[in-house]
Amino acid sequence: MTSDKKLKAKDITIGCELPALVKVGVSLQDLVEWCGVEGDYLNIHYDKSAAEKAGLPDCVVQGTYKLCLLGRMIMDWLGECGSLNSIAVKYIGMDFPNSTFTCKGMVSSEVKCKGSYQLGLDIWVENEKGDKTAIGTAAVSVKL
Amino acid sequence: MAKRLADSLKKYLEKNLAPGSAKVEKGAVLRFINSLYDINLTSSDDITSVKSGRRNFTVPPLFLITFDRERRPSLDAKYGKGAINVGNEFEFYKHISIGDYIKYEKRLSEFKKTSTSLGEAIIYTIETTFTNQRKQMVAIGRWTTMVFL
Repeated sequence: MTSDKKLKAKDITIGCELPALVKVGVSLQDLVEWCGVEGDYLNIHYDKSAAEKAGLPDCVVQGTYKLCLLGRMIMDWLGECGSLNSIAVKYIGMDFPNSTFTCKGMVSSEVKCKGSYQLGLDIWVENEKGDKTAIGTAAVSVKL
Repeated sequence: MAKRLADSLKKYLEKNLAPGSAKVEKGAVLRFINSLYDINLTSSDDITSVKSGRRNFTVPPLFLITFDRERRPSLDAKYGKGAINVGNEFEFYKHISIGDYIKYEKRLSEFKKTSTSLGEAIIYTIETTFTNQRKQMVAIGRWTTMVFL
């Protein structure tokens, strides 16, 4: 499940942005589906009354869903040219159903080593207001 | 309550928790991919990917996050007012494939008390080591949770 567009050397210089991944109108159904996928049925993710009882305004989008969408963004960008070595994400804000959020990333470091590139990435998730709700880093290897 | 939870966690610090193992099943991987891509791949789609020159059906490395999840609401309410996931980390060392058997071993790697705008809380990190059937370490995952007291 990777993009057919081949990564080029000009795409991997420091400061280059990864193609953003926009998740439009994440639905309650998306969250229920994700509960099933990861086997975590904590009810604040699909039961609004349980979420309100916990002091939340609505059901909350799973942090792991945002992590894996960030992972998808990176894998789509790498295509067949590279692999994900590590990823670390902190969840610093909440996203809710019927909102749109965007996964973004940027090359932050680059080391060429034995014919491949070791890249550091800054990655984050932004809500519709432009506030970051998840921030992190990733390391990838790229062979061109 | 903070002391009770801290004492409970202290007992487990740096000790191995109950290990487990699971097979990387094609259906589970398809559900993972379908959910992230809003698509509906079926089990015949890997044949297409082989024909198009790909070496195999690709398992996304973050699929490992689906292993050993058994959290239920009642468990979160055990000690505090609730718990939230505040961060995840993964280091990947080997690719995983459909049919691999993955063993996972967990340990409580750290915990600390903290103050938040919602009151006192404890943050703890569970580190999981994933090993394949060839005894190769495929990944290390870290899962950080905050429990509100």
